[in-house]
Amino acid sequence: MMRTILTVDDSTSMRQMVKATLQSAGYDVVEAADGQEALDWARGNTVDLVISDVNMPRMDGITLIGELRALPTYRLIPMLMLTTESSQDKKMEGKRAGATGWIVKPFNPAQLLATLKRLL
Amino acid sequence: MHKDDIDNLAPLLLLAVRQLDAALIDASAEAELLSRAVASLGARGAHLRDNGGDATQAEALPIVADAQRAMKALQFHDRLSQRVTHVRETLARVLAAVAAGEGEEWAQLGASIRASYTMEDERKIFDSLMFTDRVQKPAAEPAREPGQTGSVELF
Repeated sequence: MMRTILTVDDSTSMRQMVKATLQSAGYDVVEAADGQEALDWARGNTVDLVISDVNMPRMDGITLIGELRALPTYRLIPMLMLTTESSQDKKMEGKRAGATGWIVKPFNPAQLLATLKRLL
Repeated sequence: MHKDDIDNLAPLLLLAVRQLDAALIDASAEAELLSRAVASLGARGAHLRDNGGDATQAEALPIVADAQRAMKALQFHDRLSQRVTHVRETLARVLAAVAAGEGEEWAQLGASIRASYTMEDERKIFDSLMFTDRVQKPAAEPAREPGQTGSVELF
């Protein structure tokens, strides 16, 4: 069965590169341009994993993770932050909100796919 | 600062902000085109790798590897545009403070600019240039290892 991944980033080029990487490994990909758009979509749909940027307009990625964790269908699915943020404080904030892991941009496509394989 | 200096400084700051806005829009359009092209090459390579015969698969592997390297390298645009955006926001805040005449305390302005940064490199540059007794130093963060970008940490 094809796994579906929700990728959230306000940068179109970043979304394109994440999407291409995931699709090359056979994943189905859903995109959102910010946390609010992702949350609105997630309220009526489920995925197998979420990859989200941190700094975005309307709703940031850490708030999004917290909101998603409150939805019963998203309580247990893996959620990764993909961001330029590398401070320990931010990482801990993400962990407290419910993030499963933290990837610092720029991501290495092969490494990202290996991480997903571990989590799914 | 004399009033004449302020009157001259404000339009120059505004000019710098507008130039950065234009550069960001321009670069963003080109980066989208490039990333779409690289993503398309990578997808074609992956299709050939997964569906072709032995010879085709062997030829497809370096195409996929090159596309992956290009995708990693192209992410420079995301980091660059964030940094330029932060510079733009810094100039806009200084412009607002100058235009208001009083505005925020300079130390407070400096602290809020530092807090808006998202990359450790930015904070290091700020700290190396701006550390005076007017800007309160935050708690030190561990030094970044050269390979930290791209790092994966599972909680």
